[in-house]
Amino acid sequence: MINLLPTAVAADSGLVKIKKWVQIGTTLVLVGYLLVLAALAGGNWYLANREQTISGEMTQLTGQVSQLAEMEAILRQQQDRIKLVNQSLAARVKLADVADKLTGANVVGWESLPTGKQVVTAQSSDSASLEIYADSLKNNFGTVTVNKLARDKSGQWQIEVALVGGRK
Amino acid sequence: MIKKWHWLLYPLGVGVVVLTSINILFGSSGLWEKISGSRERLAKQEAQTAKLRAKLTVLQGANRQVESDNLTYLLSVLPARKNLPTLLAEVEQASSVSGAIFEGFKGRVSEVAASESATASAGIASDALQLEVTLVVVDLSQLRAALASLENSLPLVKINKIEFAAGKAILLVEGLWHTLAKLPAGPDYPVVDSSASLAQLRAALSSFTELPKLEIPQTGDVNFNPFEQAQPVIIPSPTPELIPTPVPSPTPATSPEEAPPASP
Repeated sequence: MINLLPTAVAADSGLVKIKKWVQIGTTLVLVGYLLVLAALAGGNWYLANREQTISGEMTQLTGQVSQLAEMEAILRQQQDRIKLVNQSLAARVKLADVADKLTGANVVGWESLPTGKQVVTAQSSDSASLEIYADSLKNNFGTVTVNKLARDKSGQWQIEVALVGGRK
Repeated sequence: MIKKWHWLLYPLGVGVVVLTSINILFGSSGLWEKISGSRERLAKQEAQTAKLRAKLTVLQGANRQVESDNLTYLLSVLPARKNLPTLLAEVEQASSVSGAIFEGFKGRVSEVAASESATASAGIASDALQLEVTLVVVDLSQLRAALASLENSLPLVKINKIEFAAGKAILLVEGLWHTLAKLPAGPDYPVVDSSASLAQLRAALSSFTELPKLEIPQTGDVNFNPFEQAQPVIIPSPTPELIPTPVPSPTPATSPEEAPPASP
């Protein structure tokens, strides 16, 4: 006769342990799941409420801004115009300042092109002073090119200088 | 024997509940999806509300009269439409200040196709208010004075080209202007307090001379401003040559040609 009692007891005690852990695990999963569910449901409820509040506030603010539409138009036109004026001022080359830089000789001709190139013609009784004048222009212009230095019938010397670029 | 496995009903039941309801949470129209969508919308709405609040603060803090005056000032600096009489008055003033003689001018409304490329290459808009002005000047210093006066007058003027030779200066004078922009409304378009930049601009333009406004009546049969016409019009005549338009200068000319004859 074989005594089976210890084996049965051992099997039962193993099953009880498994049962206990499965139940603990299941409970933990269930609680966790319920917590996630509650958190998501709560979050959804909160966001829906917040959205409604913000939407209401936005409607109210839009209404208030609409009442001040004329003021908005004035201010935005101002902004736009300030930008345009600044752009215009920045894009403008003041030719009076360029003329200032051309002094130093008897300037008888000056052509200022939209490209920014200046062609200046100066006259003198001697060529040396004109060469000095052309040399002095190098202080104010990036590129100075003497196009022509010639003497006319009346004995006057004329120099034609092309100037490009601003002050070095 | 079956009773022995009853305890499995609990985990199996939980498993079934979780698996069947997981779609409610994380499905395509589940709670998680709704929350993500709500968060995105909310973030956008909050950003827009903040913009609106900032805009409202600026708008409520602004004084209508002051801001209207500021805009009027800005429009006097850069007008919203072409104003030929004002540009002519500026040229007249410049010639009078410098002592030069304003001999004449010519201009046209819109450039023909052939010359559009030329104006475009020169950075000049084809709808620019541009005049070819002829001044009689004694020397470079007088021309410089005329240029300084023109360049320091309001509305803003840009001189695009100069040809000075033999006592005459031909200037390509552009009266700067820009139409009022159609600005769209909405919370996405902010309104900033531009008082600081305006003050800076006013300081930069403080030395500029503003002419009294010359408004052109737009009613009646006669259009006093030919630049407003749709058809190209050459002022004062369609001939290509420069036709002098005598404009008496308040300051007497100092050129030898204009000097009074010496008494015997």
